[in-house]
Amino acid sequence: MIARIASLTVKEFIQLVRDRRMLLLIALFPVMQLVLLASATGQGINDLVIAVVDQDRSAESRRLILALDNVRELVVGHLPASPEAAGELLKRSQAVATVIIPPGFGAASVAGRSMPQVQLILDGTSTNVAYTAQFAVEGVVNDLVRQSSAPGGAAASLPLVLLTAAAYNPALSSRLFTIPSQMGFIVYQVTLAVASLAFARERELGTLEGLLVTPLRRIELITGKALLAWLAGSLDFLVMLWVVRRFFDVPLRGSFALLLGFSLLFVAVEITYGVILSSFARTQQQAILYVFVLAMMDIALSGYLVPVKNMPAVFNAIAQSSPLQHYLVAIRAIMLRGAGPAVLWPQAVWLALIGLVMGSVAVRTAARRLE
Amino acid sequence: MRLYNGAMFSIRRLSAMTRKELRHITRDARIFFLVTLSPPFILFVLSYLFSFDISTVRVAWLDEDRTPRSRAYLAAITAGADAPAGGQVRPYRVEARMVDSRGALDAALTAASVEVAVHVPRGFAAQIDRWAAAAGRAPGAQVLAVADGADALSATQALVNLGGQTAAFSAGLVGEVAPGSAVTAGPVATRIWYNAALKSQWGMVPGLLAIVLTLPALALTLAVTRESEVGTLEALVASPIRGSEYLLGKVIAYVLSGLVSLVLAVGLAVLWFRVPFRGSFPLLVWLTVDFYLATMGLALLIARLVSSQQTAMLVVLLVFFVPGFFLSGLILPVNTSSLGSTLLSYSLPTTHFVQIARGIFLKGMTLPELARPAALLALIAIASLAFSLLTFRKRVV
Repeated sequence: MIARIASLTVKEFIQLVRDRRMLLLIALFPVMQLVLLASATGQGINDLVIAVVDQDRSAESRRLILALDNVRELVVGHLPASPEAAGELLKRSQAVATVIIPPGFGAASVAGRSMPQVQLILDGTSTNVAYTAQFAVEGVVNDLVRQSSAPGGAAASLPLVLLTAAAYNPALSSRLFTIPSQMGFIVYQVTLAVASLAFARERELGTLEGLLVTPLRRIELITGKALLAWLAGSLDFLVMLWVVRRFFDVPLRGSFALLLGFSLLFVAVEITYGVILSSFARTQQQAILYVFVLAMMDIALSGYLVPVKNMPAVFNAIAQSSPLQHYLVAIRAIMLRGAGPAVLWPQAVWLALIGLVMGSVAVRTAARRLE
Repeated sequence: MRLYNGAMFSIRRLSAMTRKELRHITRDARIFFLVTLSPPFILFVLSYLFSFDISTVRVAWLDEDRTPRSRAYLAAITAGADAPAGGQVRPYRVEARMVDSRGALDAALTAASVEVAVHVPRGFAAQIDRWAAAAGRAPGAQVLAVADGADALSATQALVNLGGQTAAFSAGLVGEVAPGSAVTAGPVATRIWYNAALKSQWGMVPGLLAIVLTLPALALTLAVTRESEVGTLEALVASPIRGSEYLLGKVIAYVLSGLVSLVLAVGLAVLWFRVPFRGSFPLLVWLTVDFYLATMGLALLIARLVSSQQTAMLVVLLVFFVPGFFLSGLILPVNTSSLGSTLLSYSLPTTHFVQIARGIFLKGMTLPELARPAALLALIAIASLAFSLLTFRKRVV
C-alpha cells in the first residue's frame, strides 16, 4: 500500500514540476502578492500631512513644528495663517489634522507658568488615520513639555503623566501585522490550489478513469494526492518564511520547530477542504473559482485584515471554525511575541478538531464522487 | 467578419438595445440579484466585519504603590465607560486584571490575554504629594502603559484612549490636591471633526460602498462574455445594430440598474448604520455614474481580453475587489512613498470613489472640492470606454 501511494505521489510530483502554470501559481504568484502588499501598506501609517497654525512665532513654537515634522508618522505640509484656512485644508482632505500653537506658548515655558493648551483638530473620517495622528501629536507635545518641566526646564506639568510604549513592535508599524498575515494566507492559497486541482485536473483531462482502473484503492488515491499538496504547502511555508524574514524584516522570536509544527498541521487541515472542493469541481477553472469563494470568506473571518475580537459575537463564533484564523493567531504569537506551547495549545486543539471532522467528510465525499 | 457597417450612430437602436438589456436584467433572477441586491447585502456583512472599534480594552494592572490614590486611579480608568477622551465620549470599556509582578505583566502580553500592561510604580502617591507641595513646579508621577504592538492599529487606539482617561483623571487631581496650581489641563486639547466619537463604522461604511458598487461592473463583464459563450451574439450580429450601440446600450442598462443598488446601499448606511449624510444626494448619484462608467470601462477592457465567463469573473474580482481593500486608502492611507504604488492606487477607480463617498457622507463636500477624484474617474472612464468602443467589432469567432 505504501509503495502504491509513493509511486502515485512521485507521478504527481513529476506532473507538477512539468506544469508551468502550476509552478507559476505556487512560486511566482505568492511572491508577487507579498511585494504588492508590502508596497501598498508601506511601513504602516507614515507621513500623514498635517497643517500647523503658529500663532506664537517663538523659538519654542518653531521647535515644536520641527519636532512634529521629524516624527515618522507626520509631515508638516502646510503652515496656514489662520485656523479658518487650516479648517479648509481639513475639509478638502489636504491635511488629516491641524495643530494650533496658541500665543504665549513659548513665553509660558520661559516664565515657568503653565503652557497654554495646544489645539489639535483631527479629521475623523478614517479612524485609523485619526488615532495614529493623535498618538503622534500628543507624543511630541508631551515630550516637549516634559523636557521643559524637567529640573533644567521651566514649565509646569500635570500631577500624573502616562508614558506609553509598544512591546514587540516599538515603531508600531502595521507591517508586522499584515506581512505575517499574508504569509499565512499564501500557505493557505497554495495548499488549497494544489489540493483542489487534484481530481479536477484528472477529470478535465480525462485521465481520472485511467487512474480508477489501476490497482490503487480509493483511499490510497486520495492519500497520494493529499500527500503532494502537503509537500507543496509545507515547502511553500519554508520559502515564504525565509522571504519574510530576509526581505521584510519580520522577526521570529519564538521556536522554529513550533511554527513548523503548526504549519504542517494547518496544511494538512486545509488539504481536506481542497479535496472536498476538488471532488465537486468538473474543471480546473471551476476548482479555482471555488477556492476563490472560500478564500474570500476566510479572508473576512480569519482576522487577516481586522482583528477577530472587533467583530460582533455571531461572526466571532463563526470565525472559530476557520482553520486560517487559528493558524494566523499562532503565526503572530510565535513570530512576534515569542509565545510557546503553553499559550498556543487551544489553537492546536482547534486545528486538530477541525482537521478530524473535515478529514472524514473529505474522504467520504471524495470516495463517493470518484465512483 | 463585419456584417453591418451601415448608417450613423442611432439613438433609436441604442435605446432599443438598452431596453432589451434592462429586460434581460430584470428577468434573470441571478443577474438581478448581482446588480441590485448584492451590493447592499455585501455592504451589510462587510460593515460588521470591518470594524476597527475596540469595545473592550483588556488591561493587566500591576499596582506596586497600593495606596488609596493608586486605587482611585484604577477605579477612574475602569469606570471609564463614558470616559471623556479628548473631550469626546467614546464607547468602550476597560477590563482590568490585577497582577502582582512584572513577570506576570510580560506573560499576559505574550499570551495576548490583554492588550495593554500598566505599571503603577512604588512612590506613585508620594510623587503626587510632592508635586502638590511644590504647587505644580515639581514633576508629576509617571505610570507606564505598554501595549501589545503586534496589532499596531489596536495598540495605538488603546494607548490614545488610556492617555485621554489619564489626562482627565490627572486634571481632576489638580483641583483636589493643589487648587492653586499653575497647570489645570493636559498640554493638548483634541477635537475631532466629522466623526466626533471616532466610530470606525462611519468611515468604513461609505468606504466599503466603493467596494460593493464594483459588482454591477462584474455583472456587465459576465453579460458580455456570456453573450458570445451562449451564442446569442450571433443573432445580434445579424441585426442592424452597430457595435458601439451594442456596447453602450449594455453599459447604460447596467448603470441604470446599478443606481437602484446605490439607493438601497445609501438607505442601509443612513437608516441602519446611522452614518450621517451631510452632502448632496444628487451629487452622489452623478459621481456614482462617473464611477460606474470608469469601472465598467475597465471591465469591458477585461472582457475583451479574456474569453470565458469564469475567467472574466476571476480577473474582475482580482482587479477590483481584492486590491480595493489594500490599495484604495480604505483601511490604511494610500502609500505615496513610491511612484509605483502611487500610480497603482490612483489607476483604481475604487481609490477615487472612497474619497468621494467619505467626502459626501461625512464632510458634505461639494463638486469643486471633489473636482480631482471626479476628474480622474472621468479620465479613466473616457479612456477605457473609448478604447472598447473603437476596437469592438461585431464578429462571430
